[in-house]
Amino acid sequence: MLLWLVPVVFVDAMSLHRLLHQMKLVAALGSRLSVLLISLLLGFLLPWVSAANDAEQAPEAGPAPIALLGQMSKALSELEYEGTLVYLNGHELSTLRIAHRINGGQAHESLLALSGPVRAVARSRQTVTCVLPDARAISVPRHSAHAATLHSGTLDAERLRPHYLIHHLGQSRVAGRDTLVVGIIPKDDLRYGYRFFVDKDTGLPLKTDLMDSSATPIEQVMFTEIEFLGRASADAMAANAAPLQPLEAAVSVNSGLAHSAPASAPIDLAPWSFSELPAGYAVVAGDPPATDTKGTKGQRRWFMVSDGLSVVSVYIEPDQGYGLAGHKRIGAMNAAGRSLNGYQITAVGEAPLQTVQAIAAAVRTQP
Amino acid sequence: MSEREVDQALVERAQAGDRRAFDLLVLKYQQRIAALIGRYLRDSAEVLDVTQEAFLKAYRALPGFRGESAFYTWIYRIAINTVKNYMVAQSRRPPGDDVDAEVAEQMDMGAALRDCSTPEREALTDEIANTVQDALNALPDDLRAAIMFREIDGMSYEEIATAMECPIGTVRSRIFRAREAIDKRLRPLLEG
Amino acid sequence: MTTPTSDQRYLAAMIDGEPGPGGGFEAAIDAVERDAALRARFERGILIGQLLRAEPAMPAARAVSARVAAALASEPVVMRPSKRQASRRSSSINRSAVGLAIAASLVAVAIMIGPGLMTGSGFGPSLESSPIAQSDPAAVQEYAALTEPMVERWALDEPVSSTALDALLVDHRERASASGLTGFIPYAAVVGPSGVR
Repeated sequence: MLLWLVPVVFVDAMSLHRLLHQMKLVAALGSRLSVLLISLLLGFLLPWVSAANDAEQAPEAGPAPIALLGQMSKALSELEYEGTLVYLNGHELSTLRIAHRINGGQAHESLLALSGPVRAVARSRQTVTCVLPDARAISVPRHSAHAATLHSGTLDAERLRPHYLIHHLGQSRVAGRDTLVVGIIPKDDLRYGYRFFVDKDTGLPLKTDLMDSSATPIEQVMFTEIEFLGRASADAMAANAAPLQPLEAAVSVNSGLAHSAPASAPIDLAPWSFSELPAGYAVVAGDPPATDTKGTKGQRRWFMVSDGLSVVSVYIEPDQGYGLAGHKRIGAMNAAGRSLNGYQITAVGEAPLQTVQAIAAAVRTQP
Repeated sequence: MSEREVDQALVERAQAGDRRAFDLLVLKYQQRIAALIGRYLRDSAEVLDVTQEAFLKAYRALPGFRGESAFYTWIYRIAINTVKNYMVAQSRRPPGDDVDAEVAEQMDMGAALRDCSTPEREALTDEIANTVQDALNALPDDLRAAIMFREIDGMSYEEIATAMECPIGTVRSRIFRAREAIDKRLRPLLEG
Repeated sequence: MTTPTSDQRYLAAMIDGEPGPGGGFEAAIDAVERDAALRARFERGILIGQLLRAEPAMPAARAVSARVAAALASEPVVMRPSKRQASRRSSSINRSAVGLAIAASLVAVAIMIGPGLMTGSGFGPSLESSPIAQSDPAAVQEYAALTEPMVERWALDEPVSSTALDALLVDHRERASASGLTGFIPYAAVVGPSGVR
């Protein structure tokens, strides 16, 4: 718990920005030098997580942590902004440019890597397209919020309580702005936690740390500068997005019959089922089987397994012979795959490897 | 935005019958379009043929170009259609993995296509790549920083001037001199 | 006739989109159109930028402009009926379009990450040495897959496996982002890692 607290002397974001800027200058002088500078920068970053603080120093001013998370979720869906982010994963640091706009009630986002190979994401009206480091482009359709809704702008605190602590962790400055820090701290090793640095004025998280139960950072994303462009009106948001429904209370882990919002719509898992999911995890959403009974064989099925915060997607599709066997990791994302009766099972999510593996292993075909 | 303005100025001239303006657009985008088409075709002669055809189609369609998208987005779509049609005509199956045009319009996918699957065939030799790298490394610090801010970071002259704490005219001069120095080393390879 | 100073301004306008003498681009276009040496410097200036960004380039593609010009010599000149519409359109560009254009311009800002990039794996074995027959479409696709740059990502043996897995990753992020909370900058994790080890 103490490890999750924010150091009193948090590295000043503007210093970081200036440092990054200097890094650009030096990078221009030679790539070897830039490597040295990144090492230097990491030296600045490491104290974020290693320095501990006294819990009593955490200010209790401001909204309750759960309310703060609600504000944050709302801000994420309503605010328009542009800014520069740094992304840190392990020893890898990237700079990203983000533009987030609401157009016709729908969020449009572009995310562009400013360092390293060109990587980019564009979320337009109907598709999400990613250009990956090797220039492969992948497009997937966007999904409406109600199709996989977990939250209605607020977390289901009751759902989280058995597995997470939600606490104020102090305040800090990020990108030159004052933030309140709230932590969602996992109680076991089956899930990751978050530390959000929420902008006091707007509710937008200006820094997000994904951390494991021992407070080791898995992945950190932080704005170094941000420009707020406005807030989409509630009417505009409502025009195109179905109102989000809160997640129904935890379902029986082993029932094989889970529910997503709305509660009255059971998830049709057939012909699949899940057994022995990791503690607290349940199937909360899924694509229905194809209406065409003949078409089910070739269709990819998707199910979402979640503990209310951590989310793992399970994909089941006919085995084409090139699916993932075993496990892989990229950033905070773990993937585990196996073959089952001619089908490829792949579980992907920002959760510890053992959790993702257990979820992949829990898939069964109904007799 | 201003790069797009240059293109728009060239397009309007070409639409008014100025072929030299269209020639400048071809000069500007011939490498990118060839690289794009090179994703579909592996034969370099075919790549050049289809690239040429794509520009010819663009020229003929130019009166209908309304400037609602960037010129590059427009020619990108034409190039994709041209190469797909070509492959169908050759009884080859075009891959279905190209980026949709809407995204291409939002993001300069041409830039993102770097490092794409172009094997050596007609791609630059290591010698050319090394020459550019060597020329860059040999530049004085201020010239190297200026050209990298511009070409790698995509900064405007004004932004570079702020970053380097110098007048815009100095930035312009540094970038010009940097290009000249690189060009001096590159030209013998390209034209030799 | 151009001077060194005016050359700088013309090329800055044509290559970098920096407004030239008079605040526009007309003088620069005029100069580059009529001065063959300046035109050549413009072309190589564009190419140098591509090389610095390690974009793929084909020396042979430099001939495309001449081939196009030759082919067009026998074609009628295209003329657009009215120029008024263009000015009306350009003034109607809305804020979001400007924003997207800003975003688009940012794509061009890949920072070179190391000395290996320029000589990196983007350049595979020569085509001529490929045993794959030209006429076999399956082989063409396979060859294209084999010659993809060897950037480690999921580090799977088969590129098709990596693509399939990446597609799942992106789909997962998209679906998870609908939850509204874990999806802070939902795609930072997708494009944050450079894939270079």
